[in-house]
Amino acid sequence: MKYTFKHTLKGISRRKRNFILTSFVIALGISLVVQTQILGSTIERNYKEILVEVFGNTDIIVYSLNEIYFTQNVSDTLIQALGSEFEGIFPQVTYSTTAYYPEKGQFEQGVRVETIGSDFNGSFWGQIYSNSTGEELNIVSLQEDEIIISPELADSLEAKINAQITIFLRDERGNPFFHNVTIKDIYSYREYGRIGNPNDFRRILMSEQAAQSLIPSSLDRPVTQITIGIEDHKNEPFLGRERSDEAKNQIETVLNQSYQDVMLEVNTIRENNREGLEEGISGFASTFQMFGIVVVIAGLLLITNIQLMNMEEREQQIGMLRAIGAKKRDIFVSYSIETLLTGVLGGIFGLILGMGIGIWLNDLSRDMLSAMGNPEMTQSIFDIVVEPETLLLSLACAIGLSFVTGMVPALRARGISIIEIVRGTKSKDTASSLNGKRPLWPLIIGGIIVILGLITLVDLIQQGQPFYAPEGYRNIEEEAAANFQALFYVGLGIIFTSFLFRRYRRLSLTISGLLLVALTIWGFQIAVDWAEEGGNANSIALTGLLCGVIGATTIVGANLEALTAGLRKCFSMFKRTRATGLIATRYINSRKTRAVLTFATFAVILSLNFFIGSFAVTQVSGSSHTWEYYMSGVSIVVESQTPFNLSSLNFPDILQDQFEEIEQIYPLGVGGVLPFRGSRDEISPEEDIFYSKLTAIDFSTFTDDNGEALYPFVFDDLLPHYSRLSLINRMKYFDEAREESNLFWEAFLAGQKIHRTTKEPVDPDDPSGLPMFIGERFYFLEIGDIVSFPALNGSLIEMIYAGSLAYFPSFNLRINEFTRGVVVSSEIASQFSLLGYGVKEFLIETSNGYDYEKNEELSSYIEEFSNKKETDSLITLSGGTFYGITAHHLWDVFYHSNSTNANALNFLQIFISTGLIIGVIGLLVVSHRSVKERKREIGMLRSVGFSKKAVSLAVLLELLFLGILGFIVGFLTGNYLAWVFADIQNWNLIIPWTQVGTYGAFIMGSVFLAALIPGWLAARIPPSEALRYHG
Amino acid sequence: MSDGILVLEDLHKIYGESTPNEVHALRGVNLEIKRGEMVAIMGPSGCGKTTMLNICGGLDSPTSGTVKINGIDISTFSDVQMTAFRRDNIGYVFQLFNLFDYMNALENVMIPLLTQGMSYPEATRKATMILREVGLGDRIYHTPPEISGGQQQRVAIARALITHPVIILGDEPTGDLDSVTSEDLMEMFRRINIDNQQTLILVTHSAWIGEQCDRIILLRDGEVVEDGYQ
Repeated sequence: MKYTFKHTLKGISRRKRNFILTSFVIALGISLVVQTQILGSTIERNYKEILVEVFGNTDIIVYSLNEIYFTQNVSDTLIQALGSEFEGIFPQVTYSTTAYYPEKGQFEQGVRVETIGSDFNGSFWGQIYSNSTGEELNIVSLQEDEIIISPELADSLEAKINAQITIFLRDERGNPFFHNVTIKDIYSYREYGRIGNPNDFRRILMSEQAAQSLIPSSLDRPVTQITIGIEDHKNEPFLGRERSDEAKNQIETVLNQSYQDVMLEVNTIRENNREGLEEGISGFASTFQMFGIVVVIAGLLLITNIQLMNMEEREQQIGMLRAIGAKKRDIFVSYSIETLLTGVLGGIFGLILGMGIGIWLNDLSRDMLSAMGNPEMTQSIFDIVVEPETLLLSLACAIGLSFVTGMVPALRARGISIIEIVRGTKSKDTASSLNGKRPLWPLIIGGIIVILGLITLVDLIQQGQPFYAPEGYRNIEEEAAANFQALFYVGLGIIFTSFLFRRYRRLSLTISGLLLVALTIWGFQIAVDWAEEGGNANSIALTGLLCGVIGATTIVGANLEALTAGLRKCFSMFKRTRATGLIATRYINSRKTRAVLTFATFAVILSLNFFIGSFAVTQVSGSSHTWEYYMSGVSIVVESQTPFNLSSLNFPDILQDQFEEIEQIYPLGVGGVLPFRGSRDEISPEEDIFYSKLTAIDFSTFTDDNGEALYPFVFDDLLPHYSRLSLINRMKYFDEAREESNLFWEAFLAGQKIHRTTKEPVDPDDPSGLPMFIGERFYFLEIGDIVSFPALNGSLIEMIYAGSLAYFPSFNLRINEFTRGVVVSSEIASQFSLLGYGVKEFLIETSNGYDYEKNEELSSYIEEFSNKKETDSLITLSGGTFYGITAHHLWDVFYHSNSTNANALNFLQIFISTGLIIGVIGLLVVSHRSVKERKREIGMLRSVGFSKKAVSLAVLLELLFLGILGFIVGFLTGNYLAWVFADIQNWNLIIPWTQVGTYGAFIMGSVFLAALIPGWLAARIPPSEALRYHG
Repeated sequence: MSDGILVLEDLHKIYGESTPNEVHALRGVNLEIKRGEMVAIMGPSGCGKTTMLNICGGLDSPTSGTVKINGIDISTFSDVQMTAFRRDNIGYVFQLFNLFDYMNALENVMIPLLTQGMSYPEATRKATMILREVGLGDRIYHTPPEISGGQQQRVAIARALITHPVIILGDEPTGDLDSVTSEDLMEMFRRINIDNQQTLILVTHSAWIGEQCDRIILLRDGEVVEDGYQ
């Protein structure tokens, strides 16, 4: 053993350059694992820290959904019932308003009014100080018309101390009124324990008494909200779902007993936000991880390639050692030691390299996540997190990879005939060792697929759906049965091909490849179906992508000789390339395994690059088209932010008189946020609280040329599952659904009701009916479900769900895009006073079409005209009423959401490009080793008349051919995947040819570098010297 | 003007010049070989035989002195000129055959013709013909690992002959072969020499091969110490 160890070390020392290069390639592969790990753990850890910082001590917030509030002693009630583990209970009065500073004509919507009462039992806010003098501020001593505002609000209103501002509210009848208040001071918080940094919020603090007097309540001193902190998680940032729910139930039980009329919402806000954020990032994280896995697979191919070269290089040595009496065990131990050392060195290098790249990518991801719209993120420090597991994982992976990719060839080398090796008659191609033998891999891959099929079957029988299917998938049984069949038969097919292998090697491999490609298409089809049901389409699609690349690789590998023969024919047409073409193509065939690994590396990485590249462009173009389709000519949405109802004014006519570019104005009655209970999850019956915009439609506005009412859209629920239908069937079902939905529309327009049991529209006087509302699909309500909505007077109003709206318009204005949330007819809305919450909204069509700049300008003019106190302005025309008009240009919304997606895709593109660069560097190393190995052969070529250029060209042709093959396979699979994802959205795939050209140029450039540098260096060696080389 | 097909004048070759490992492989070699001669270059190991052969064939360049083939001084040739000259005028047969393992006998033989720009069918026809001539008509689609050493050397000879070079250089061409095969090959060399009037220069340790040649040149320490016809 001691001798073996010494011998191995000597061997390594003698071949130290190869040893270092192998370690380097392993390091490149490991760096991909490390950076993926670092990014994953950094994102996860930082999100948690941000949540802890943002939520401070707050675990639960309790508030009323109707307008019946808690009394002043609510905190005592809770403490007495729940005990000391509730470390802080903070009752307060808080509500939302619009603040207006007439002197500057500035206003801000969504401003929060808050109170801090001296007799409240504890506060998480801490003390506040004057922003200007630094002195401690006392809220209790404020007069009824005095307020203290946040620095953020002061900035946005351009208001200073002593400025008089107006806030807008409603009385108990829902009538709007305004209240003038004076800014006493601008606060500054130094320490705070509640949600967010109060200095950054748009907030008004006023005395408890003043705040209470402004809200409609029969109570003397109402409490609208209770903030609760729980003591028992001091050492843990989160309570956990179980404890949170337990506390929630305790609170609900106590409050339901004491406040029976209050429609309670107990929000486990910290836990909910943690889950929400985790859910939010999980989609990105899972996509990222899947991409990471694919990139790592490319690294694995690279490492396998170089280990294969090591094995080939050492075959002779192994044969000689065996010939002179070395035992198989000695060779095994020697190779193990070398592999171990290579792995450790590669792991350490890879860790350092991966950390460097990971830190760089982390900076990028921080910028990107900040841009994704969470303002808290931009202020948070995104510290890099390197978990100890990452260190261990990188070393374990390095050793594991070098063992897997190094030991298997070594074990195979052990079994090779000593005679063959010593005589040098063994073929250089590892794949040729399979000649006449049945390969194992179709049995393994086919076996795995068959087992997956059987698991699907068992899952189907036991649970009704396979483990990988999204919950609540509509046609799951049918789908799962099809899955089982597809997996089972494809798997069996692949196993069967191994029996053909002996006689029909090429045919059997081609069939295996085709079956894998078929599996890909099947996988993608499932991804399409499931994406619409909220399933994890990414995993399925990327698994399909891998199957596609493996399948295509198998087909190309099996037919490599035919492909190279074609190439040889092409080159034989030109005098100068006849000899080089022959050499290059024959050499590729002589090392099929190496060739397949090389082009598969390209194909794997490029498939992702092409997918992201094409999908990014398709997404921008497709979503802008979709957006235009949804906008249906509407460019600007005008909305009043005060409770004053614009319907009393002839607002559309005023605007049209004022602005010639306005062609058409559609009024929509829009309420404020309307909370109601429903179930978000079709499978689990727990109720969720939805906060929805209320839209009331005045359908008298929507008429055809004959003045007949139009039905603007069909009900989605009446359409069968969209993706399963061919275009013709879709239209057939659409027509049927339209006919059926017209029944609902007629009833809806007439303000009729729907029957509780038959779910048909009924006579308006029928007492068994309820008013209808239209909801959104994600509420998961069935047509006919009854939902309670809180009304102004504190009572609950029941309405019946009539369905959700599909994107199939009956006429040009597709107002379903603007009628999100709960939609009722204006008649129903006024009957239940629900519109008292809100304001009017107007959709404006302009003669500018989709000209961004002109519409942007028009939006500014509308706001200026509506909100400034000038002659002929809206305020003057309406007799001095300030409406707080906002005019949103719809493209702004589109650009914001689109830039978020574009950022995410760009980040993935950069991540994958890192993989591509690493792959190219790896190929440079492989090519260098390969050329070095062929030094003697290059001498032979020179001796028979090859010039230096011709030698370089031969090396170049080999890699170029493999690069082009990888490029084609990557292009086809990547774009196929992009097409699938585009098709889900009904977008046309756009292939960014410039980018394809850039990638092509990059690959060709890399191939030139990888081939020409070592080829040119080798060709420079005098032939006489090269001929003396003995590997 | 000399009628020698190959003329070496004051040929020097120094490896690792001005370094501690400097080796003076050839020390002022003067030699003239006539068209159609079959010459054996002999001498102990390290005497400069292979170096001289490589320089003669344009695989290596001299440190000083001139090499003239057919009256053309190739010692001043650029790499491109030398490659073209070598391709058209020199045939090599090596001790280790130096065949491409991944190509069959036919393709190995065709390669020099293809480098000259000859079409595939024409090159195939000629290569097949010459392989038949060397007795390998039934082995043309076999790769080197699939045939014996003697057959491999025949392929190498066919490859050397295919372009009808003026000089054929052999570096220990029978060094790896048994005596019976060696005799066969020497017979083939002699036939080529007589039939085609091609000049053959063979580097060898074997006295028997030397005896088969017209002329023996003995090298020692980089100098010609004996040069005589038989």
